[in-house]
Amino acid sequence: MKKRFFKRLVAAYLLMSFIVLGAVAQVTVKGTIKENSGAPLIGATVMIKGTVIGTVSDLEGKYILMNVPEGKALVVYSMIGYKTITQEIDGNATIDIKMEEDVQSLDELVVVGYGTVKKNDLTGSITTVSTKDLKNTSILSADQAIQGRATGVLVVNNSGAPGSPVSIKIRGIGSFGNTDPLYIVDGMPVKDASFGKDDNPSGINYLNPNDIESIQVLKDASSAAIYGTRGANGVILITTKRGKSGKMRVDIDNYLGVQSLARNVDVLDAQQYAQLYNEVKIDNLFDSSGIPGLNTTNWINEITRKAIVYNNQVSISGGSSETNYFLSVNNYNQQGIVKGSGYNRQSIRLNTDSQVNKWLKTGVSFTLVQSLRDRQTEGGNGVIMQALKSDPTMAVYDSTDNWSYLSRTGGNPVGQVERNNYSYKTTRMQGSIYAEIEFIKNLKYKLNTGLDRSFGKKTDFQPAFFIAGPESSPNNTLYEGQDSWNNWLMEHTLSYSFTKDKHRLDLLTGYTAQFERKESYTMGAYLPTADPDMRYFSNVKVITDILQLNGEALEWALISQLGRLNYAYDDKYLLTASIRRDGSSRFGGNRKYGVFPSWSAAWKISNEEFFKNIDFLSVINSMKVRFGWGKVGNQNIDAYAYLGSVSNRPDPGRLALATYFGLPKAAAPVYVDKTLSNSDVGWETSISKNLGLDMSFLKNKLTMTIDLYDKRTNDLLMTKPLPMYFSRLDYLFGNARVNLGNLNNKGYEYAVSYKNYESDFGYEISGNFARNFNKMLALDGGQPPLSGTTVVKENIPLGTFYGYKTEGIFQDQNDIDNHAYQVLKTAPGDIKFKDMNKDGKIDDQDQTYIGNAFPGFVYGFTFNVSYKGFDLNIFTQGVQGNQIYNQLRQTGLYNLTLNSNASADLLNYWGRPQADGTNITNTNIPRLGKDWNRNMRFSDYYLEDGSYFRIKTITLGYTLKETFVQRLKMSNLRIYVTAQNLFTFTKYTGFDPEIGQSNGWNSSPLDFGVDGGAYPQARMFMGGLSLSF
Amino acid sequence: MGACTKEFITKPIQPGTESDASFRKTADGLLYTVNAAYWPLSGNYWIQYYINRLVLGNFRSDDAQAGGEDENDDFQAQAINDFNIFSTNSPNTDFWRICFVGIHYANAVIESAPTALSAAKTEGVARINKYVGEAKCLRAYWYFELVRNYGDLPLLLNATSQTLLPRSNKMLVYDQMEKDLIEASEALPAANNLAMAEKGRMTSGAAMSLLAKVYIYRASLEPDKAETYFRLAYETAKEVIDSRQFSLLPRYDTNWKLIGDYSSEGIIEGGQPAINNADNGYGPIYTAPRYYYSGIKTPGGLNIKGSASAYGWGFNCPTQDFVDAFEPGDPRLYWTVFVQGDSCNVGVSNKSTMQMICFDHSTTGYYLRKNVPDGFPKTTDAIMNVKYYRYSDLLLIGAEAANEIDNSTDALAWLELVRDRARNTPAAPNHEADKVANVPVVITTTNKDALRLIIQNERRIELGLEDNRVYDLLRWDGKNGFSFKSVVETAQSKIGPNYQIDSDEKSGTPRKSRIVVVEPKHKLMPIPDSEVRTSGNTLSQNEGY
Repeated sequence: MKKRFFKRLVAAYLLMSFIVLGAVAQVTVKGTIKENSGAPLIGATVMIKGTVIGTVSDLEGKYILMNVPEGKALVVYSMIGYKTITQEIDGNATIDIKMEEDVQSLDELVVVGYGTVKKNDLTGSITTVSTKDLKNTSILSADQAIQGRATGVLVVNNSGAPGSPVSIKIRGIGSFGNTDPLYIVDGMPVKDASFGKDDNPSGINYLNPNDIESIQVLKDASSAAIYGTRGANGVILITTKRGKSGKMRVDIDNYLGVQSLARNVDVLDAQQYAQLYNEVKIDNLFDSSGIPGLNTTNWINEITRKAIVYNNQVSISGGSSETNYFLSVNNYNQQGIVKGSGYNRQSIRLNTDSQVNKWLKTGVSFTLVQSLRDRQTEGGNGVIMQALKSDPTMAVYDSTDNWSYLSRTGGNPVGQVERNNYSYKTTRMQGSIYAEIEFIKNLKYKLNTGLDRSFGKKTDFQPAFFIAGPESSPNNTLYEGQDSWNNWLMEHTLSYSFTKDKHRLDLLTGYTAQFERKESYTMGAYLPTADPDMRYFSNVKVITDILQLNGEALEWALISQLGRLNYAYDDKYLLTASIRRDGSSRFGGNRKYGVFPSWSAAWKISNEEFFKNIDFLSVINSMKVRFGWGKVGNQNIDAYAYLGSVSNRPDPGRLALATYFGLPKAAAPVYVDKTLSNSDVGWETSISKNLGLDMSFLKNKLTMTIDLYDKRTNDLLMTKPLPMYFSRLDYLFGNARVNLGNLNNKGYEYAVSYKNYESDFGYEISGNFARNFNKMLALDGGQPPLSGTTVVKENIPLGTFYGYKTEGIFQDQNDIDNHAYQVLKTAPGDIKFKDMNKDGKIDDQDQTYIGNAFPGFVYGFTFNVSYKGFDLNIFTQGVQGNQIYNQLRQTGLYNLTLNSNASADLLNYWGRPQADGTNITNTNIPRLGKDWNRNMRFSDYYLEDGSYFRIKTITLGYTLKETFVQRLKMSNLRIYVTAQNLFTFTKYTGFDPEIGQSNGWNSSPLDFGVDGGAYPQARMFMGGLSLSF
Repeated sequence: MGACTKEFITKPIQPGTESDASFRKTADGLLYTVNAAYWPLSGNYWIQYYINRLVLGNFRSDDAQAGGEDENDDFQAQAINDFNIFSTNSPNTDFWRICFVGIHYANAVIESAPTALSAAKTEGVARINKYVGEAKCLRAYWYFELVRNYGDLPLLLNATSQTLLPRSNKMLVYDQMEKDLIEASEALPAANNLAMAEKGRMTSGAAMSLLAKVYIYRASLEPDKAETYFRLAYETAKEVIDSRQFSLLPRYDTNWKLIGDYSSEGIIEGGQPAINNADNGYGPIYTAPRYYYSGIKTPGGLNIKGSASAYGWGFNCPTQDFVDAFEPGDPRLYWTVFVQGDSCNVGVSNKSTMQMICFDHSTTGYYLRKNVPDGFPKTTDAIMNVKYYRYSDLLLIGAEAANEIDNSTDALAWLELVRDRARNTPAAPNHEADKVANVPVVITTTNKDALRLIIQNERRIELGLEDNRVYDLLRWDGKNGFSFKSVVETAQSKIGPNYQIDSDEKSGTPRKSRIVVVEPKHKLMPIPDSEVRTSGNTLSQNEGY
């Protein structure tokens, strides 16, 4: 029934867009197309060269071409992933064809800015992740597809919460501001990264990952310079699936899985807690005879659950040689492992292309996505931290079935989870349409215009509740907010290609304009009711009940001209040069316009005669060296940073400024300088060089790519402190933004892959490895944004942790007396801090560099094995050489006074009396009790090795035999099981070593690698079924 | 296309934001700007003027130790208490910055006024002139805060220039303050004529009172003109007193209750909101006792059931030396200092309850009671205004100046006003036994030196821990045998009472004596290091730092 409905839908659609062909029929060509294996090849295109006559092969691989003009003609058989075959005919013919799979994939097209180029002809550094790489795995989100697969790209989940954004950094950090790459989906730059981070993030995780055909990561400046002021953080180009000429194809993919907490953190149980408490505190709260009978509540278990994840995807695609279509509908639902959290997304996509006539081609890309995200609190005040710290001797519910009051630790976590109703709903429409006119052969004009609209609604509802003690709220509380984005784009490009003898020339020029506007408001109020269904602003008493009311609007615009030249000689020497001029509303009058040039060249050594003549080089099938240079910008700066303005509310997150006069006292508005004008403020400029080598060996089975790069970023956006007597308040507001200083990222990337599908037993191993070295070169008196944990200093890398070094634990008074003075009350069992400046006392001058938040190298490995119908995919990834600041431990679990629950490590505290009468001294856990010594201060004691190696996914699939499947009137049927996050090898003691950037307001890339109680990652098992008709 | 393009990429201003250029051309804009010059006085979250003023004014004196949770708590404030002061010290840096915020917005009003006046109608002209008067008074206030801490200063008198300035001689700063205050006193209404809604704004009385203070400071800076400046201080104080713009409240303690806000005794106050909000209320937290106990405390003091809870931050602990300075039975001791056995009204939940104070964390064995006699404010409670300049301060300045110019009649009369009020302030019920009849005693001596000592001690008691002490000590230093160094070193080394350790931890150590060494350089604070650097050494550093 469903199937017939789709068929009709598609038929109706095709009727509308088809161009009826004139019919002058003479001969017929028919036959069967098979794979090498003998299996019929479905959906292969058969065309008569130089005409629009064509068809596709059916379920049995059969095709028939009628209306073929009499006389000699060339029939072209093609299909993606197979080598194209051209056959000459003369008159009626029956031709059976065997098509060979094209595993070399060197001829595949790579999407570059405003065009495509053959992979083999690339001169810049571009990494591709294609459907093929993802085919047999289940990807939960678009950004997950890049992790471990794109060389040189650091992808980190900031949180395990479903639907949470990830942080993506390409070739290190080149800015103190936003370091997100520019995302372009089907030619449309998506919502600006500097506009909002929290609920409605930029990036690509709104996309249905099943719709993605390929992802291209433009890493070096010579590739990204065509994006001018937005290219400095790299560019990620996403191409979604489009229909292929051929019979209509219906693909259905469903999976269902279950998730659970991948790793737990050990805290004290009730007996242990009571025992330690009595050992440390005077009041002997717990009657020692009663301790063995205490009931333990494991609060983490109480707030987590086994959670369901499922995905349903239906897509139909197909087309004639004139028009193709792709339509998909998707429903994805992921419960969170923390109760009350989750994410679901419904999306629909329609992509079409039509060759209207000989000179006009047009197409549409459209998607509508709706998502709903339910969140629990994270971080230092979040529910996960709270659960770890909650009193284990207390039951969840009291005798009246109400949440029990935790008198010592406060905040019943189950109550928090159950009361919390924080959700964020988005509706996003993104559509673009293009028309391409070919004036004369190879001279094409293209108009591309698109709109990206997003509406988000936040609801934060807390019902009235009562818990014994001070924790109760007699009223419902509601916060609601909305935001909307409007982003439109208009692009005109003109391109020309020219081939003569050994010369090939492609030219491109364009003019583009983009405009974006954001509007938002938030309001919050006490609702004068305790009715939990009363979730609307009604009966709100305006003066006394309103908690929050604010809104804002922002806009920016960009106008650009661009040009590019590609020149190839004899398929040996390649040259690309591009230039873009951007005019941006974000910059001061003196720097409105910027010009960003680039060039790159490549030499296909393997195409040289001398190369072919050298015997021992015959193992090398291709070899190409590339070099590129380019200049790109980063415009991620506040939309109005260059303007002088005053404000009553310089920080929208806080109250309006006021001072108070009069009896009765009344607020008087205070307006302060919010921004100071600076007409010289502009983009950050980065200049990078890239040297690359691409090689393939052993009949192209072994391929490898090596890149070396050196990227220098100048004109970093910072504040430059003027003397304070001019009243430049401080970093909060009132400081002018200036372009100052420079930093450097350099490194190398290595990707290698070996494939062998020559026999029934096919396999593929690929790996990538990247290393980045970052260094702050000069600050020139600029003031980078402050970070709580890392410092920015000249000649050291960004992300460097700054704190005390420790040297073990004081064993006795003698030990203390012989060590630098710490505090008056330092006692045996306290942590020894290192006297770095050797002045005999420990103070803030002794802080030093103690680690780095960014990994030394990032890697990923993929193993694919197939045998007959079976396929096995193992995908692993990891990072090496970074430190994690375990704030979970520092501010929570190493609570030395035991005022709240603590890590099980504390059982081994220094000085603990043992059964044999001795005290524990051989330990690295300090004494318990009041922390006079400030053992909690930020030191390397709380830094841990953040390296990990993770078996991210293992998928085992089985594709049923064609003969069987065909009996079911299907073309393909595959069943599979997948495990995600199965094993993680790490020394890290927290929930998960994958710790990204904290996501709060004003989050900066300098706040990386701090584990403050982020939502833990889930382990996931799922089973799925994909079928095609 | 070109023009159209330019327009397309020009976004003049964010919707809803005012551009700085047009804002200060109207009377309203100037009002909101002059409000910004008052703003630091309110002790707002953004700008913790009150706390930093307290750190600089008390921790360097004989009256208070830093306190806090332990010796690492707010260690930059502890460093000031230890006279371990560097030019990078953060309370010092913040204090400098905050005062210049006040100066900047005062300058913005004074600078923008001519343009605004040229466009204003009659009613607007009167408003703008008043704002200029307030701005001048505030500019002098902020420069006074700076000059007594740093000496020579960059004398910045406009809001737009970014030309680097060297430090001007402090006498030029004093000249400017005098000029501003005289002009302000002529432009501003009298305090007793101020509309209720205007309470808290600067008045002619405030300007004159500040001028009297400026003169008496100058008397100590220019010994050869001392007599002239004492006379000016006396005359100015007398003018304020005779104008009857201010009067003492009947009870001393009313000054630290909500009903004492904007009273007849307040000359300059930092306004606090009627309903406390997240951005205010940091001042009381800073000095409130560190821990309290609920539940039953047995006589031994060690078997407390129920545990200690964090309460205030416990900074600014009065010294034993300060407590010893009171005449036995002076009711003001009770209203100034928490001692063993005192309890405190704690507004944690909806009910306020009296709670035992734990003195374990006080380095001196005492906590400050001013700021918290009404109990610690709940989030929705009003908190009282910060009293920066009270009438009794002015009376004592008048008395001191009168004594110096041999007018003991006025000196004794004004001193007696202050002491009489103290005498008639009831002690709290549980301290009734401490109270002694006719204490503080009536002073009758006309001996100049004896009276000077009495007035000096009276300032210490009456204005106890109101953040002015160190400046008085510095003013008196080197004159009549008075030594800042020895006064401070002696007081800081005195060990307070070793009360029963009130702790719930099975550890604890008795109080120890503190040794501080005061050097000549400590008479001034260092110019903030960042200021010297960002000015490219245009600003010179004070000697010794």
